Amino acid sequence: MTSLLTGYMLVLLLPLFVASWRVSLTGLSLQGLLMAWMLLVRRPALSVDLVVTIVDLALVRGLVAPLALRRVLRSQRRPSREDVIPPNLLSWSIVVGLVMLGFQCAAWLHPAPGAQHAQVAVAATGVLLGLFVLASQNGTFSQAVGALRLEYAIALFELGSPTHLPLALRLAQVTIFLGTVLTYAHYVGRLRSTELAAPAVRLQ
Amino acid sequence: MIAALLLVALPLLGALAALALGHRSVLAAVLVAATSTALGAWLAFSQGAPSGHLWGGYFTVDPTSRLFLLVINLIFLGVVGHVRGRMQQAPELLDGIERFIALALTFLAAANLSVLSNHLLLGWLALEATSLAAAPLVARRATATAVRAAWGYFLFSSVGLGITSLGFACLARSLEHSGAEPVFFFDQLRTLASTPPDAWREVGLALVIVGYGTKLGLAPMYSWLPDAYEEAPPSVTAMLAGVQFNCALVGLLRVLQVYRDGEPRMVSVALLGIGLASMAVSTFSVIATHNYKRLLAYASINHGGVIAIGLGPRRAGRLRAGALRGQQRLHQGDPLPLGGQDRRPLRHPRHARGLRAHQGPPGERALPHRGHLRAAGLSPLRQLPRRAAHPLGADAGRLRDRLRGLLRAAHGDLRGHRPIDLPDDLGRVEEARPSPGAAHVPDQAGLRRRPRHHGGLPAAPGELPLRRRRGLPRRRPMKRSFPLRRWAVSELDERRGERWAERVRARLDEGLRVVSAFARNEGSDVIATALLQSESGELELVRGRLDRAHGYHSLTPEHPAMHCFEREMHEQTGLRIGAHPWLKPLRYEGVAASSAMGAHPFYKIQGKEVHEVQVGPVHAGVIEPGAFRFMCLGERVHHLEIQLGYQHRGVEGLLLKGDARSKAQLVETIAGDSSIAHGLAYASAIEALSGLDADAALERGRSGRAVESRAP
Repeated sequence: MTSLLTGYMLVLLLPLFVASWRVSLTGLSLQGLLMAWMLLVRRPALSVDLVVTIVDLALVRGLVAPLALRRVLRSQRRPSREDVIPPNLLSWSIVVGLVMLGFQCAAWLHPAPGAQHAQVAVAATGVLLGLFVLASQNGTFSQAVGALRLEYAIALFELGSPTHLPLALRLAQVTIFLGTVLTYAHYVGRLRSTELAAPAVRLQ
Repeated sequence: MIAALLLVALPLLGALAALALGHRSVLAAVLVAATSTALGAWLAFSQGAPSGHLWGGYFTVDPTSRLFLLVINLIFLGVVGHVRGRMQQAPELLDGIERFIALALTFLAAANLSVLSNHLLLGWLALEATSLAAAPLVARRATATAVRAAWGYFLFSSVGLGITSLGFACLARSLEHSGAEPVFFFDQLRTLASTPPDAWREVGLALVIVGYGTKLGLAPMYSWLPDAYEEAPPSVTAMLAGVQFNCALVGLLRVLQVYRDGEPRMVSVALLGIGLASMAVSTFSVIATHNYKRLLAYASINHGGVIAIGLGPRRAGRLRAGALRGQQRLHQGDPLPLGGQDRRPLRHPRHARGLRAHQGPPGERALPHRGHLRAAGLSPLRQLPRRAAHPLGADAGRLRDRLRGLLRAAHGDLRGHRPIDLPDDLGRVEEARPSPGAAHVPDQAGLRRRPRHHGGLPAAPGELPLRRRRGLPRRRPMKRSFPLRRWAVSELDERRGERWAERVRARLDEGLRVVSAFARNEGSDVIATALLQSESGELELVRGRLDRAHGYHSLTPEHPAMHCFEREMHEQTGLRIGAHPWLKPLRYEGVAASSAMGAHPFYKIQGKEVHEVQVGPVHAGVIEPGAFRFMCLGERVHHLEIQLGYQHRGVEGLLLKGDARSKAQLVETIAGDSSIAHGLAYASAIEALSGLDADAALERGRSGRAVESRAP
């Protein structure tokens, strides 16, 4: 496993054990920036597609997405503690189990050891952890973080593929992701205010 | 070729135009939808319509796209037709309609694009765009539950489509491993799918099926669908169920067209499992469903399950036939004992009774889809009976309204909203309401018969006389005048929808103050009543029938005295009250009360030296339970909020049971600090309903006791 993938694995796992929304968003930001770095160390030929991918990974995923959520959370003056997964031994054990399962999946899908194998393993782990965060939380912010973790893991997985998309589709993909992130931020802000005003109890 | 392009471009242009057209955007949407439907019909039926791949192979016009283009555009035309009709019926819904139309047309453009797409990722992106456009539409009602449903819808859509995208990536890896160049065009994939299967393809197909299954609302990721269908406006529900469902289905169909022959076992197992699970959860959920929109949602999940089974195992003809038979029974409405806008719970015993009660005439049984028609309140051959919302009937509900109004009127006055000068009021009002020709002869108890004159207001249409209770004197039929002796009632008005709120707002702007406002459910509607009082002491009742889902815009921002009443109305009936600044529970009635009491969202003031002081909920003396939360900075109290709802004794229900004359003690124990006031109000109510008047001396005595009870 390369040092970048090791770093990615760390920023994937660390926010799960530190109950802070700032750490969660920093982790997401680092994931985006590390993916952009991984792309650049391959020294690909300069092309419009490369520029769009770098913009997607570094700018949109690395900066815009975490900053949009951070802006909403700061405007709400939300307390710094925000559990991404339930803080108990069972959850932590499940996380360890999911990491092992991710690597097992990689061994099944891509048996040959090497950089590709490691990348598939880390991406599979990211997908599984994202789904675990989604399954274990019902807070809006935690769910948004879970969905973004899933999206980032998919992006990491696609990073290992030589498939090239037409520029228009690539731009549409980035635009849709940006719209998704902004919609997440909108609902994180909006549902926080309705969470403060407890849900109405109906007599029916 | 131009027709296919127009199916995408025309709605997009319409969306842009809608933002500029304002209220006329509805008509523009109808025109766009009609044109799209005509184009879809032309593509579907015309011999001269183009076919094959267009625009560099990214679009395709094949039998699948022709069929589904016609279906989704036809459904969309119906949706915008419905929206136009609703706008004409309820002009208040025009608020923000241009945004609604713009999003709906964007949704249609993306839906058409996804159906026309010959490219895996293009279709996927278009489907994601439909989610982006539909999420604000689901939350159009802007209630907390609607926003949460929209969030659930969008989150599940994003996750489902993310899983689909991962599946596409795995399928591309499969092609790479087989030595082929990864492509995403369906026609090219068909030629490459004959390569030997591998783990990547199996995983990819499974992920695509689960991802599209999420979008279709199939198990295991189906939980967003009932909430979204219930909370979205009916037009948006139809768009999700009739348009987006079909788009996701087309995406799944196209993938299966390519890969099913290469991976028959995996595809069969996955679709069969998902289909059976969906049918199972929807069947069980129908039993616990509380309203017809959720019922339709579970029916949709059930349909999706049947479709998944139908797409799955090729040799499972018997299983598929069984599933279709079961689905057909649901379709024909046997377990759907619904009529009109009835939202009563559906449970086993009631199912049986409801089925017997709602079996239509023989001709209706022969009609297909009669279950759905019934569930939608459109019984084809007859209007099914609508049940009274109140278990004791409309009369009991009316009596309860009046008693509540009286109690609150007295309670509000004696709580110090205005100085009490009852003796003077009494004299003046009695002068203001002379009763010519009516002899008031006090009897031994100080009571006298009130004359039959009630102010000359006409009787309310359809107003029924109260049932006679044993032991009470015979009453005359109810009249429109409010039977209070101390105040004249100028108006009792039946108003619909937003006009009720406008009327109340107008009267409050004129200087009247709100004494009470309350609401009760009646079918799918809410009967809202505001009791207002003028400077001269005259009471005015404004009553309106409101659509629970649409509600009205809050009066609280202009008239803060309404804020508690609106919170209670929303809490008790689910009536939408838009733009209320503080819409949180007031009384905590219902099932979730115990868990909610400990998490009341008190208003917070942040600051290092700000401290909170809690008093209660248990208090010394006679006052009722309530938590008083003070936000203090030093000696200064900056904010005080009171949380109520710690005690629920069912007093209103008890008042409706048994002999009304035995309720005085109960009424006096409603609140320890208002025993006299409530007793006085109850006595006044019973006397008024009995046609009896207390003479001035008795009234003064009672009033004196009321004043004394407030003395420290």
